Amino acid sequence: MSAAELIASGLLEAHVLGQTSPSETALVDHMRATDSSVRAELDSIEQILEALAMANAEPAPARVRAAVLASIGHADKGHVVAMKPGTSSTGGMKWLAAASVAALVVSAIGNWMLYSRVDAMEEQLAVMQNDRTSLAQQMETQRASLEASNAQLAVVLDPHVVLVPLAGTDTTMDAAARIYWDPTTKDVYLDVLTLPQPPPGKQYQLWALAGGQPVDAGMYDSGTNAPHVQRMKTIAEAQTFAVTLEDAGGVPSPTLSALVLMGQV
Amino acid sequence: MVSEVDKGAVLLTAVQNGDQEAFAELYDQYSAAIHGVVLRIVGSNDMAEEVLQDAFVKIWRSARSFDAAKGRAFTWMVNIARNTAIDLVRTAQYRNNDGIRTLDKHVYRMGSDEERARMDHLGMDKVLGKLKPELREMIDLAYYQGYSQQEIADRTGIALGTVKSRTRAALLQLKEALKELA
Repeated sequence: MSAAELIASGLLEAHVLGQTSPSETALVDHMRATDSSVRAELDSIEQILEALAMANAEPAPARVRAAVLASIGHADKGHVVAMKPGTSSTGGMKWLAAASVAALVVSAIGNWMLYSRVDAMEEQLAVMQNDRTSLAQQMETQRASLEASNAQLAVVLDPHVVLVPLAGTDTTMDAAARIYWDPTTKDVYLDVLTLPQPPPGKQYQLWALAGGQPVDAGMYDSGTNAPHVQRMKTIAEAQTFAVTLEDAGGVPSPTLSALVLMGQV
Repeated sequence: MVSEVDKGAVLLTAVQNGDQEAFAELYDQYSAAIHGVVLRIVGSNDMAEEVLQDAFVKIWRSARSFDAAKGRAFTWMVNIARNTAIDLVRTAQYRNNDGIRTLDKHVYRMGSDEERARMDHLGMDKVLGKLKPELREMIDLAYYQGYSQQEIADRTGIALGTVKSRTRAALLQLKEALKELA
């Protein structure tokens, strides 16, 4: 890297700001030692920051100077403002020192108490935030459940909707369900009242029969969390609805021996 | 800027030989400027005093490692104070926040409201306030918060090359602002 490139790169500024890595520092030190333009540029950058600090100088309290010089074992002369005679006495200084210590202790206790309080409040805040999140979740669940109920109610109350009771066959006397069917929108809802849990790998399938031809109307989810009223496939035309117990996922045409429910429109 | 004779280097060289009077003179010449820098880093009077005292004791102890061929005395001294101050701020931040929160805005955060209000009225804005905000940010993050250029690029989302060029531009603008002030 040439001196001009180095100067334009911003590395010299970074170096003075203390941002360079050891290898970069070594490079800058080397260039400073060997190139006068780099040396001049670095000096200029250092003087800018020095001037900034001087412009923003803020005198420190005299006690800092006294403490610094005391810690290097300097018998402080000069720069100390002479006290007016008679204004200070050893007794007064002792009293002042005692008062300072007392103030420090009070301040420390205060800080500790304040810190404990902030700690406790942060804990409370975390608990409250937790509560709020779980409440929001509960509300969301309730809202979804209410919405589902409203949708079901709307179906039942719709004057276009035809109610088709489905009854069990000779072998499934206890089974019972209802179909809500809207021929105008073709929506079909299956409302299961009593139906045994299907064995593993099996699922109830709804069929619509029109002109003697069965049409698949969808699978009923018997999972424990599934709603008992479920929206099925849309059906345009039907004289009969029937439910069979089929392999999970459904079959293209109904297994008549596995008929569970049936009802005329 | 015309290169000035580095009075600090003369004093520091004397300090290297154990000259306590020279050290007291060094303190009198530079403590206010260094205190101003430290105050801006820690944002609290009490912490600034602590850092200043600590830094000057370190200056006394490590004076022998100062090399006038490698830079000005003030740069060397203020960097000792800056490192002490930045370390203290980071340790305090880490303790207060279990290390979770980042350090980004600590400069104005450590002190009380009054102290912060006072800081704003210090000469800070007189000079730094003249910089464009995006340039001033570079000085803030690098000089007063101690971030490397890569760290600045990472946390601001600005490309590393831009961080470098902005830092250089910031120094040049600072030079102009200081000239106007003088």
